[in-house]
Amino acid sequence: MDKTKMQQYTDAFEARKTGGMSEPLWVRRLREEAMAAFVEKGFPSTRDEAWRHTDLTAVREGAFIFEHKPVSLPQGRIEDLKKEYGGNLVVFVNGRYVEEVSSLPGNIGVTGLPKALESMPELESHCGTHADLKQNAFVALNTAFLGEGVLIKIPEGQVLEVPLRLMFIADPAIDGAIFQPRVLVLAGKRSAGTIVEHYSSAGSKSYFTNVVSEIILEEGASFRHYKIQDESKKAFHMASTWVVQEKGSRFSSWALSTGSRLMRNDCYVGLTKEETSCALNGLYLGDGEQHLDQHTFIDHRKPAGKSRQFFKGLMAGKSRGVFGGKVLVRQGAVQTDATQVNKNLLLSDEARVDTQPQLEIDTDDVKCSHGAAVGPLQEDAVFYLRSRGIGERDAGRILARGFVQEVIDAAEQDFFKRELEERVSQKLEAQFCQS
Amino acid sequence: MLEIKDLHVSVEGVEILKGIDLKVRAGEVHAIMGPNGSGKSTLTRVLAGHPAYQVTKGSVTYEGKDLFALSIEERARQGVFLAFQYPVDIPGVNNAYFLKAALNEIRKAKGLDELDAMEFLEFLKEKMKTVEMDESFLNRPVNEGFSGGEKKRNEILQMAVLNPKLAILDETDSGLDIDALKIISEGINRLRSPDRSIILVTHYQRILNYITPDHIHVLMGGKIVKSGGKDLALQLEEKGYEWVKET
Repeated sequence: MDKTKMQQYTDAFEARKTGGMSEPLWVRRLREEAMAAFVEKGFPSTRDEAWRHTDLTAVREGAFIFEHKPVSLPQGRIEDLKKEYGGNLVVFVNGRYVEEVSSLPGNIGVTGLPKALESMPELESHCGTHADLKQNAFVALNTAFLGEGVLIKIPEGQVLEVPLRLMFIADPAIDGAIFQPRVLVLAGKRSAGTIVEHYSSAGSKSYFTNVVSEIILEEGASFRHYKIQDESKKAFHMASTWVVQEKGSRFSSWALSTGSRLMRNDCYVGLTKEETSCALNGLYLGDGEQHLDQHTFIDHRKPAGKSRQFFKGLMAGKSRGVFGGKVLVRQGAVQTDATQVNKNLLLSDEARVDTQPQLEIDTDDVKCSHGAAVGPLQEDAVFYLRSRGIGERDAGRILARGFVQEVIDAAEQDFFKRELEERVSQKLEAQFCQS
Repeated sequence: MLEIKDLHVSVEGVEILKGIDLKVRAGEVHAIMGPNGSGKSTLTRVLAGHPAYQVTKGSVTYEGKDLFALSIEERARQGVFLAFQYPVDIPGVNNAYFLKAALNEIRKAKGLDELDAMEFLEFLKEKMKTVEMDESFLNRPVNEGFSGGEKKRNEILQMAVLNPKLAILDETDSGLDIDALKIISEGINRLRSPDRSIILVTHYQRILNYITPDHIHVLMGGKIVKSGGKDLALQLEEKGYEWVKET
C-alpha cells in the first residue's frame, strides 16, 4: 500500500495512544497486534482470491477522518425511531453508541464497549479471537481502533422477547469520516433472541463504515441475526459477522443490502460442536453504479451439523453483484447436511454478477449440494404477462418482485418479513426507474 | 372481427407459415386442426405478438385495425386472448395478484374503474366456479407446481376473467383426461357469445365432441389446405391427415 495513504492510519493510531485513554493491557496489546497486521498487509487487491471481483482502489486511495465530534440527534427523530421500530432500541450515531437515547430490555445486558472492556476481563477470550484479524484487513483495522460498540449479553435460559434493533445512523458533518463500531453478542446456554443491525444515513456526506460483529452461541442457544444495509450511495460499507456455535445451538440470519456505493458483507459461521444448525439468507439489490459483494464461509467442524444458505441478487443499471460462498466440511464432520443456493437476476444489459460457490469436503458420509445461476428476465414469462394486458415495464417489475419473494419468505418472523417487503418494493421502484 | 391475408411468418430465417388466409366473424368458432409441426402454434403466437416471429408478408386486420401495429399488451387490452399450450410458471407471484393486475389493465384500457381487492375477489371466486377450480389456487404462485390439467384450467379461468373478444386457444385439450376435458369444454362453451370469436387450435378431434365449431380448417405445411363444416373433423378422425393431402 502507498506509504502516504498508510500514514493516515498509523497517525490516527498514534494519536489515539497518546490521547490518554485508559484501557486494560490486553486491549492495548490486541490493538497493537491488529495495527501491525494491518500495516503489514494493507487492503487486499483483486489478486487475492477472495477479492477477485471487488476492486478496493477507491478505499485504498481514500483519505479518511478518524476523529469526529459527537453529534446529537434531534429528540423528534429518536421518538420517530421508537414509534417505527418499537421498544428495544440501541442507537449509534456516527459509529458511537448513544446510551441516553437507547431504550433497553430489562432482562438482558447491553453495555457500551469501552465500559465493558474495562470491567469485564473475561471478554479477552472472545473479543478479537473469533474475528480473524490476521487474514482480514478490515477486521485488523477495526480491531486496531477497538473502542466503540456494544456488548449484548443474554443470560443463560433468558429469552429476549422483543427484537433488539441496533440502529446505526450515519450523519457526518464532513466528507470522509470513518466509523468502526463493534458488536459482541454473548448468547448464554439455552437463551434465545433476535437482533436487527440496521445501517442508515441522514446526510449527504461520503463516509466509511467498517464494522465487525462477533456472535457466540453457547450450548442450546437459539439466535437470529437480521441485517439491513441501507447506507448512503456515497458510503463504503465493509462488514463481517463471525458466529461461533456451541453444541445444539441454532443460528439464522437474513441480510438485506440495498445501500452504499461499495459493500462487502462477510458472514463466517463456525459449527464448532455437534448437532448445530445455521441458516443464512440474503438479498442484494443494486442500481446505478453500486457494487455489492456478499461472501459466506461455513465451517463444519463436528458431526451432524446442518447449514442452509439461500441468497439472491437483483441488479439494475450498471450495478455489479458478487457472491462467494464456501462450505468447508472438515475431517470427522460426518453426517453434515449442507446446501447453498445463489440466484441472480439482471435487469439491464450492463448489470453484472459474478457468483462463485465452493464446496470443500474432507470426509465421507455427508450430504452437500450447491447451485448458482445468473440471468436476465425470462422472455417467455415477460410475453406471458404482456399477453394478459400488463405493460412491459410492469411485467418486469412483477417478475422481479416474484423472483425475490422466495427468499423473503425464508425470513422467519412476520415483523421482519413485512419490513423486507416494504424496503424491497421501494428499492425496486428505484431500480425500474433506471432500467 | 379478424381477417388474415396471405400471412407469411418466419422464425430464425425459416419460413413456418407460407400464406394463410382466414376470416373469422363475430360469434364464430373456428377450429384449426393439423399434424404436429404444421405451424398451428406459430399462428397463435404470432397473433398474440410473440417477439420470436417475423412477419415477412401479408396482413392481419383485427376489428378494422392493423394487428401488427399493436404491442403485445395493446392487443390484450383490445380483446385478444391467447390460451397457451404451455402456460408459463411465474414463481413468487400469486395467481390472484396476477389476475387482478391483468384485469385492471384491461379495465383501464376500456375506460372502466379499477376493481379494489374486495370487489375483485368476489368476482374471481364466481369465475372460478365456472371452471371448478379450488380457491386454494388463488394464493399459489401462477402455474408453479400446477398439474397439466390445472394449468389449462387456469388459462380458461384467465379467459373468463379477462372477457376477450377474440380468444385463441392453443391445444387447450392436450394432456387432459376426459373429466378435465369436459370441465374445460363446458367452461369454453359458456363463454361462447354472439360478440366473441374463438379460434380453437387442436391436434385431435376429441375436443370437438364437446365444442361444436362453425368452421374447421386443416393446416399443413404452413398453409390451410382444406376448410369445411363440423363434419370435416369426423372425416379427419376416420381417415387421418394423409387423406387431406391426397384429395
